[in-house]
Amino acid sequence: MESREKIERDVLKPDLEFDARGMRCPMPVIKARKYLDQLSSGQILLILADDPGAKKDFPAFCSQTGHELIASQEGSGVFKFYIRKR
Amino acid sequence: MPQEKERTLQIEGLDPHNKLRIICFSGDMDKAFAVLTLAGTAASLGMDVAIFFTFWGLSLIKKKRKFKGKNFIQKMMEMMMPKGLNSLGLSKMNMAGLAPAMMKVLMKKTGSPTLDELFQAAKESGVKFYACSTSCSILGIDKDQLIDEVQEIVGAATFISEAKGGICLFI
Repeated sequence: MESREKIERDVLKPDLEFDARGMRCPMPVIKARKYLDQLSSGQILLILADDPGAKKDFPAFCSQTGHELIASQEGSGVFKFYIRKR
Repeated sequence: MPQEKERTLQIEGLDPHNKLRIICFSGDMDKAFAVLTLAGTAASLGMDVAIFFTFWGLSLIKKKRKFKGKNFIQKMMEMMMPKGLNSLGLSKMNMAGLAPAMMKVLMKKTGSPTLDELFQAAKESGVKFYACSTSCSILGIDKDQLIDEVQEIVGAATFISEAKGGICLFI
């Protein structure tokens, strides 16, 4: 039985991963922008964050910038965001 | 904003009103943290961001002290004003300088970025930095005393007309 995480990654297929765990606001959002700059339109960035502010910051980041938040997940204090670059 | 610049932005599909201007009047570490966090975050959200450092805020962008060419009072101010992001005091409960050191420990413990890291992040996100011409002339500060990242020393009229239509904060 494959792990749920592996299934998640196989389906959502992120092109780049940004592990922002341990970082506090505003660094996760500021750095995420730089990671997205490295991708082409349509590619997916996976962000892992444990800053409590990140929960709302990333959806807000997406609505402000027009990038699409295709999936988000929360578990054991870690938030995962799959963002598709516009 | 000059008509030409506004039209250029509109042609590029960018919203000329999607901007943040911060007037950084304070020279305190706690307020500097707020200034740089807001600036860097807004810039990474795609906003056009600029910070106007004035009066006490000049401490944040000062890289070296200079006494030559200043009068007695300006020399005194030069000596007493902190130089650079790492030597700032706290706006309250400074405790004769103990508090900033304690704050730095606290920030490190909780994983917060240092002021230098925040500044770099803001700079890399495209934030622009300006110094106030009036404060500079009152305090006798030249551009060569300021960090290289400062674009220009400008007056209030320039800054305010540039801020029109966007968000402007006074910190």
